[in-house]
Amino acid sequence: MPTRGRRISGALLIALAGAALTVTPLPAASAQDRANVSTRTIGLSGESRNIDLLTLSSSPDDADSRPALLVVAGIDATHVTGTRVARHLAERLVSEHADLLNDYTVYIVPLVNPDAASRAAQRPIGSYDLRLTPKPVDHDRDRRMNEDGPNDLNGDGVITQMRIRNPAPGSGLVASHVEHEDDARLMRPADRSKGEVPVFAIMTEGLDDDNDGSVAEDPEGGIDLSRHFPYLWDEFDAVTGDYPLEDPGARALADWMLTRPNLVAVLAYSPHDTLSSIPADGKYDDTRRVPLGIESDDKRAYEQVSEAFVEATGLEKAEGRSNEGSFHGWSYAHLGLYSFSTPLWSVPDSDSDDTEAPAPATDNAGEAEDAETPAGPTMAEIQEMIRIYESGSAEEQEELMKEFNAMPAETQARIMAIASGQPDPQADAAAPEAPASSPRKRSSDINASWIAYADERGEGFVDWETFDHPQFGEVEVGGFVPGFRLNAPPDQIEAIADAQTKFIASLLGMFPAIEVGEPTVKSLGSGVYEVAMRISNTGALPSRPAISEKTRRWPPILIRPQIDDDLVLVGDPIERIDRLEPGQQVDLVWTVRSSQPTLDITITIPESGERSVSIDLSEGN
Amino acid sequence: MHRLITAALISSAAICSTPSLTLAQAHTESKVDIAFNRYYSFEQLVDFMYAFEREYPDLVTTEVIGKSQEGRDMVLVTINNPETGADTDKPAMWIDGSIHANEIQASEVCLYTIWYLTKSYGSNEMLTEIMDRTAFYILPVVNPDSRVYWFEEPSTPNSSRANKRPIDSDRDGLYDEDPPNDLDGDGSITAMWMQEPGGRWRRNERDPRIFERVGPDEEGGWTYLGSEGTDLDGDGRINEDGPGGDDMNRNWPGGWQPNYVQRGAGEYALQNPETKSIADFILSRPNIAAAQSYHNTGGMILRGPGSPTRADMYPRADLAVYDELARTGEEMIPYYRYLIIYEDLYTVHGGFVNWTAETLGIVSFTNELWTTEKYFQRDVRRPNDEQQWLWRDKLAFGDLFTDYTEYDHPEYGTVLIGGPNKWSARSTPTFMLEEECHRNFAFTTYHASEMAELRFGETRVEKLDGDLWSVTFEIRNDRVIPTRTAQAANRGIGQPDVLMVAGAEVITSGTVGSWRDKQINRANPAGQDQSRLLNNRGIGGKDATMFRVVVGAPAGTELEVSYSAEKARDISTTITLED
Ligand SMILES: [Zn+2]
Repeated sequence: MPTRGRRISGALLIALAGAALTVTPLPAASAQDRANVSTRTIGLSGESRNIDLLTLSSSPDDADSRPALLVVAGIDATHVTGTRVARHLAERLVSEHADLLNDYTVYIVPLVNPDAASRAAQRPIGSYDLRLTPKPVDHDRDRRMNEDGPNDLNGDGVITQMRIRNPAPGSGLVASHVEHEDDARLMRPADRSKGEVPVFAIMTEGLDDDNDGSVAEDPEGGIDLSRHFPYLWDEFDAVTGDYPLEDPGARALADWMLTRPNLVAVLAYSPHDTLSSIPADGKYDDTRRVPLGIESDDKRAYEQVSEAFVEATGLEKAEGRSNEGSFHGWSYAHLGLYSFSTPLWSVPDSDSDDTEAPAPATDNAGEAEDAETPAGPTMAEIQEMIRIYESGSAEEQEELMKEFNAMPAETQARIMAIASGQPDPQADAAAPEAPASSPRKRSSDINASWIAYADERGEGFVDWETFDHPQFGEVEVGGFVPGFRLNAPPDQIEAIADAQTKFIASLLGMFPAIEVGEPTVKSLGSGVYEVAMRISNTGALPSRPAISEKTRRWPPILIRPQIDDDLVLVGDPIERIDRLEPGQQVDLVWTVRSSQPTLDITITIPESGERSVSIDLSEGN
Repeated sequence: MHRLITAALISSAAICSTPSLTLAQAHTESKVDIAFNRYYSFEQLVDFMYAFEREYPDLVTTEVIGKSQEGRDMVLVTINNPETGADTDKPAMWIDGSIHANEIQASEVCLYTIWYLTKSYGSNEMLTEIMDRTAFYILPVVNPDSRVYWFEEPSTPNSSRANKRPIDSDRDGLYDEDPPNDLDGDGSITAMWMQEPGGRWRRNERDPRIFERVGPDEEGGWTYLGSEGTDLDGDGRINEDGPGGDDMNRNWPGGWQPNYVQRGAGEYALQNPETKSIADFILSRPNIAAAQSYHNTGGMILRGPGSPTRADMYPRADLAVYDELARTGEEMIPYYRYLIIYEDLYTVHGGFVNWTAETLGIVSFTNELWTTEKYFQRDVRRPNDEQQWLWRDKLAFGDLFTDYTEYDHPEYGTVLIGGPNKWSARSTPTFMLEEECHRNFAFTTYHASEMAELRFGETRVEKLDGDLWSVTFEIRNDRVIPTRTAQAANRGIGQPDVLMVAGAEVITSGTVGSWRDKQINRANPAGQDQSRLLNNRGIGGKDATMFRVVVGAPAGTELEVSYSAEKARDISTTITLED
């Protein structure tokens, strides 16, 4: 059983994680490495917090004209792991893979929903749904706003769930679940097709504050950014926004991307998976044009990347949500970019051996510290920090946050480890307001794995305890701690960041590489020349995903001889190449009339800008 | 003779500002003098809007709701009489024009609407009554940049439809670098023709202005080269990357689809400053119950859906509303036909009225102004060339045509340039413009007048036992449009209506189907506050809903009953508990 203290400290964890990401210096990186990182703000959130963009490149001036990978995290602020790993990634890449940053640019947007992240400290844990921006929404459409949020009935500091055995007729509650046969702590839907009679009504821990027969159906919060992008956007849902990209932060991210033709691929750290398992291919929406997953012609590329991912991370399975309205779905199906997503972490196999089992969250003060940094705070100091944070005023908390942000990454990780436990207000699949999900296992099987893992860690699940509910009589309160099933333990962040660094290095290594061959010239007499040039892709991935041939969002590779088009006898004065398979070569041939000694040809590659080659026409004689 | 005197009186009235003189002619003069036999530039339209605000300060307010792509003000006019309530407390009609900027008369119809309504307030009984219980939000120019362009730059009847957000139409990395060019300097983009062997066109013998296609075995001698222009970017193609833009009538978040499904859609719904400003305004006004977005051309009263996949968003109850309004409209505007966008025209994803009707539950039409039948005042849907020439020569005296002239074209050599100019199609001829404005204004005002207006109908109080009373009452809507469309009710759009009862303890509340019903058939769920009854279905068009409350209070108690709907004015009454 988790102690009350450990569960509550999850609030500190999220608060610190969210705040840490809004600062830009990378404490662990050397000054020289830091020069390869520039930070700017691409826009403001609804509450005017910065949406930060880190640009990793050996040459900040050229960063926007090199093939680029964009890493985005914190679309769902519940997914603290994504935001933390994204930040670590910046450090790792500049310090361990500076060479890659000579050829490629890595952009990182670590937190798209800072407004929700700023509410991570709101108590009790789970009382604010960290998926949601703070825009006011009347979720239950009763002309009253936020009048029925969850309530921490048992006073343990965490919003979990409530189950009611055989709800009384007239209570307005309907039984839908039964106890799981393997573990009575778990609930599963009754199988009516087998004549099973449902026993339990299950809902979020709370009161029916507005006496409308529903519990916790109108909490704070407005737009779920993970369902807020224009791709397959649901226009009739209360939390998807009045229109896609209504949220200024999400819109700023989208608008910035639209100006970046050097983007090759997008990697989202979010509770969606396209990497452990690749999306279904060849399935379309009702226009028969917009893919629900990926185009069949992109399957091979996605498999290649998935292999590299699994090899680097060992993450063979991951739970995923529906991708309707998702950022990564939009980046793929509307923009035409390679687009991937991973939750970064999944339920560890309960039968895993000791070496794979996560290390317990303990004080890791024994680890060698960077010689330049002073020794970190003592255990007692950290506990004092937590205590001050938990009970302190807003000013004290802010002060503490500043202090925390100035600390070396190792120390931050240590504090996080001590704080331990992570909330997620929504991730329980059994909760009435849980998001649509497409888990590859039945959710009760997955929850069996989760509860085994919770037992192993001694946290993350609150055992059901009876409670005398003022409206429903005897109920039981318990269930998974919010966020537990979404976030890796703090002590694993470093290891995940390592794996991601490896994956990103191999992904960049697979990037398409457009080679422009030396032009050749042959004189046909009377000032007429045949000029030829070869363009090829020596990378491991096609120059653009197949979907790009639909979206036609980015300009093609353009090859233009710098000569009046009247003087081109054969060939197109502008050659366009939309897509090159790996290893594919395209030979371009023009017959031109010229009295000049040389002919210039400009080649514009959207990902890497314009270059020009000059041909000495006399060589053809 | 009589007419001459009238004209003299009117003009002297305008000069001397003595409107009383006009009364003798049963003519209501406006304090903003506007002729409706001509078109106005964007700047002139804006000046008029501010003039209305100046001259009718009690009725008109203007508001800049945003800026266009090129930074022009989006000026919205609100017409409302604040003495009968704030605009936001009344059902409101949204009216706009010129989202397709080449469809120019749409703006004049909006202007006419402001002009006619303001001058009629206080002098015309019916319009005064309508204006006292409704509000109008009128945006005459949705697409200012392209209206300016259409008027000031060389255009065709069809060009400058989109907005001016630069788009690389030919995918060469350059934006808008090869537009059409007005080579003959007539202010329009006309056509280019070249004489060459094998040409598939010939000139009509009687009227050489007419080019006609030749049969498969005939020699024509002329080739059509497309619209007037040169190859400015040296790519061998002409006019392939003109100014702008997105088709902003594909840029709304109702069933929006990306460019590869819906051409002109933009990168995402409401990407454009124009559409986003409008959407933010409309979303801030849930009282908007009706919408009209004027376009041209073809003489149509259009309703959604734009796509067959959204046919289920027009439930039967809503169709009855659309049908009643539009059938009346067909009678009011000769040669206009009531049609369905996807069935009778083509599929549209992300259209404006699709968003307002399907996503927001607003009863919405698009009128396609002007139809060629009106040239001839009889059923000539597709006039042949000769009929058109009759029109252009005998009625328009050649003003719609630029004579062909030779031009030394840099790519083609000698070509002929000329043909019908930008005024030659789509826009209502100026001498018929006022009628077009009036009939459409009248239809839209009728549409507005049919927004829900609630009142209490019959009330019955029955003593059940001691201090226990059953009170049954009707709430009636005498207008065609319900307080909530069935689409809004089905999809959970907006807020439900709410009935509130005060002054006594409410034991139970709900609705009944008829006076004879003994039981409440849709009861407020037990445990809920019974003095507050949400009514998601709203009050239907030309219909009533009967409510029943059972209350506990001594005889003589006054029950305060009020009803509130987003798209109607709130009402309240007092019911005394007595036998
Ligand atoms: Zn139009």
